[in-house]
Amino acid sequence: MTRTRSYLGLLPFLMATALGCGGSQPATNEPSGGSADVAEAQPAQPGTGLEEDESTSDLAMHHRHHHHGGFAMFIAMGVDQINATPEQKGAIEKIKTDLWAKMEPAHEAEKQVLLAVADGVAANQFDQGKIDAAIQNVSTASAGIHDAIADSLNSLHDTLTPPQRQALVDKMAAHFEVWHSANTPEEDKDHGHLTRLAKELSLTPDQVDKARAAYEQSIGSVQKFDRAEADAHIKAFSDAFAADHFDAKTLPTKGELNAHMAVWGINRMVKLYEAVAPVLTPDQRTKLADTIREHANYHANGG
Amino acid sequence: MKTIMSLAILAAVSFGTVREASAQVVVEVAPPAAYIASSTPEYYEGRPVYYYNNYWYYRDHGRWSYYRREPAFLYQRRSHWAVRPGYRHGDWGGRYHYRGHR
Repeated sequence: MTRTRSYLGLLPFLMATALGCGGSQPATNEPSGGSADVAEAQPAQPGTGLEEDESTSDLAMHHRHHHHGGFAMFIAMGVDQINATPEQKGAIEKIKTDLWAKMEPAHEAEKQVLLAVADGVAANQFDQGKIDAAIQNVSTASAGIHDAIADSLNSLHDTLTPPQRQALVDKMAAHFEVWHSANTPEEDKDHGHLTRLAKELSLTPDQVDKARAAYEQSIGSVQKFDRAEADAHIKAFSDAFAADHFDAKTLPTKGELNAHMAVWGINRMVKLYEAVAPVLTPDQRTKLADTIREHANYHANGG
Repeated sequence: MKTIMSLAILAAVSFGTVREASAQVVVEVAPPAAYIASSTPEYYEGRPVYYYNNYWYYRDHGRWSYYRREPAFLYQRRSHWAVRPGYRHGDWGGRYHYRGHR
């Protein structure tokens, strides 16, 4: 009986162990939580969470219309959400201002594409020569960003703590994931750009079907974006930026990647609007053209 | 004999509980990319952590994990947010929102 009692004394421990093995418990509000009590999470796939709420949907719309900065834009956007200390904010603000300034030529070139597309939608007639020339300007300007921001990236690395650097590369990769998903034609079948337009313009199912058919045909002629090129850059940049010593000038990736991203993203957008415009009513065309002009005049840096 | 019976009952209760609990394992899903891109992390144990669906998540060697029990520091950080009007863990400041333009 004595031995029995000693085993029974282990019951609370055994029960606790059994419950612990049972997996996740809701996060408690007790400040006594132990950091060792962790579990692996399932990867968030498929999808990027774009359909979750209005704010993430707006992020997708941003990435459907603004491609000019490539990875530099993802970094400039991400640096706002790294939870900087008050002591860091002055230096980070200066770096951020410099990043946006270096991207401005590409931003201006992209603006001209969007305005040309807006005019084309309004008139239901696209000036292809003007649009192509404007896209070429975006490509050229975007290709120059990589070298132009090298010093800013080096300063940013020196300003951030190692965990903040990790947060920034996570955000850069996450923005790329969102951008890639938002600019994948297959996405339009479910909750993509065309679905968003259908809601905003109150398109009929017949209009959506006709636009989708035209879009699927035209997008097939566009050279596809090479995701492997981007994945290689993410890995190279992430490894380098997370290290104690970093020099952006030694990164293996060159400016062409930003140009490839910008050209693919803009071509996809142009093809979609060219496919949609012919099926719209005059009022819908006016409304869509106005929306595209808003995107053209929008500046992510608050300007 | 009584001792043996008691141990057998204890073992049955314990293993039965383990099996039952294992069958109820809830696999938590890591935050999606749009959330990571647009939300503000806290820093804990030398890495960024994100509060998502009532858990704190972090990435380690490419894999996402979460704290099953909320660490005290992170609980305090959540309390800190609650008294900052207009701030939320998933806030991206509205800077890139198009809401104001529509």
